[in-house]
Amino acid sequence: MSSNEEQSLIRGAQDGDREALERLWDLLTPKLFGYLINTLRDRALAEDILQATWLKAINALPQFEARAAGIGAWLFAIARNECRAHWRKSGRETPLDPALHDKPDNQEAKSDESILAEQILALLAEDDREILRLRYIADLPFKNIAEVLNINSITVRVRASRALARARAAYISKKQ
Amino acid sequence: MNQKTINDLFADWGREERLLPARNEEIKNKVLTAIKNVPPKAPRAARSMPWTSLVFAGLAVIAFFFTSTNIPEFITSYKGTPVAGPTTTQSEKNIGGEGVSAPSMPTQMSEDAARNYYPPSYPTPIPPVADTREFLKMNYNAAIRTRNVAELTGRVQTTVRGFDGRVDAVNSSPKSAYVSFVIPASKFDAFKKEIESFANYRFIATDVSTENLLPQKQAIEKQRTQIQKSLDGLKTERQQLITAHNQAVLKIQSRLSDIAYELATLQAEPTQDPIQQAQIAALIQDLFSEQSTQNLRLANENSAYAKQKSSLDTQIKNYESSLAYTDTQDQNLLDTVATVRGTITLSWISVWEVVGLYLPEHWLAYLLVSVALVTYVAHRVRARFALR
Repeated sequence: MSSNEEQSLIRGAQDGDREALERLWDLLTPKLFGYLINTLRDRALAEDILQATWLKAINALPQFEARAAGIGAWLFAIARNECRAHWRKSGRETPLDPALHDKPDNQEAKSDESILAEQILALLAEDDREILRLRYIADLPFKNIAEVLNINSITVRVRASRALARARAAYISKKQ
Repeated sequence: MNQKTINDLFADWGREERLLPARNEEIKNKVLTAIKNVPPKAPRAARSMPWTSLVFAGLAVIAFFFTSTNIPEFITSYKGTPVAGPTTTQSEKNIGGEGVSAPSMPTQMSEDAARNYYPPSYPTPIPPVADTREFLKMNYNAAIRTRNVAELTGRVQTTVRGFDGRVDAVNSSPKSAYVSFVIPASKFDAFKKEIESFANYRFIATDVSTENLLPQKQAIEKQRTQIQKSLDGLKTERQQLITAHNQAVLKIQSRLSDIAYELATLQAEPTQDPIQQAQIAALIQDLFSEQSTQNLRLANENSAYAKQKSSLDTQIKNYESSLAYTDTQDQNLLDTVATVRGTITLSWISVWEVVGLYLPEHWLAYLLVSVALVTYVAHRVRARFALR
């Protein structure tokens, strides 16, 4: 989605245009839900969080002004906050470790490469996984990831590079 | 597996992870329905200007220029009489105050200048470096800010007298005072230390200037030498005149004696011969004539001698006066070197000015700039795109 198209859809949604909002839903929900599934490892919970995220975004939409970051970064930041709120309520401070917990459904539908990627991710720290989720599932550019994580974009680039390097090293050590 | 391959792996993985929820339509309808309840977006307000920051920044600029152009002189230093010749000035300026104006110097300065007059030498020669003598004339000026002018004025005078000095002039008022003095050069360092102990260094500014009067000393010495030489020449000439005169007079008088003797002899000649008598008369006549001539010569000689001697005596007297005057100049120079002339001005300082002395320059401008920066940062934080 181009920046102009995004701006147009946002303005439409802010004016109450249902079609504009539906278009935004169609564009952003797959990435958002995929991110939530990968973070929470619980489909039902991911759906609840997804709904809560969108409803919060709708309520705050009139005040939204996209400047440096787009609506995608904004949604993902809300989603992250919802996840943290859920973990606090449930007495956890960190997400589930995929190496220790059940994998979500449709594992059998995944390609070998996806399974390999997930195995590699399981060997990484949560911070690395978060960066990789935002980069590859959410498909956010570095500056938007910086807004979501509240750090500067140079730090994001460095962390992403190191995460990939560690992923590669983890893969090699796993093979050995 | 290289970096690019792992990037592709995760890219593919990311694409595969994107999916819609099972209850997609249900959740979507809920969300789309919720948009009806949300009030429309208010017209976007113009981005607010950081007016507070701009105001403080403007005030800072005004304060900066105001404090930059409104600093009056803290001290006006008295350098003494400008004298031709090389000057070695050792100026110690310890300016701690600002925003102070010293009282203006009285006309006493012009009288002091007259007292310190030395004949200039034209053109101004630079003494050769081989002459390493120093005849340092020192001037000292200090300006003190104080909350109690009268008391400090009294202390200054007492201090001057305590160091065997002399107070030459005092002008005093509740807000300002001026003391002019001299003290022996040998006691100057101790005196200076004492004066500087009267106030914190921020409240006192001192200026010491020294000047080597060697050119003047050399001029005086040269002048004296020339006068002495001329005087000696005149005295020699006088002596020669006296000697020559005496010799001349002796010679004339000797001839006059001879003539008188010859006259006496001829007049006493016992002869009845008319021819001899005529010859004797002629000789006598010649002798009388010569006698007159010699007397005239003697008179002329005495007259000329008197004139010349008088002239020489007058010149000798003049040169002796000049010599005495040169000796006086020399002594004056030595007295000046042995004495330090000084002035101390005192002026009253307000509490606000005291605070100003302790604060850095442009402190108000710095404070306003800091406030402007803080308010600007606060404005930016408030106006920042909120993700939370």
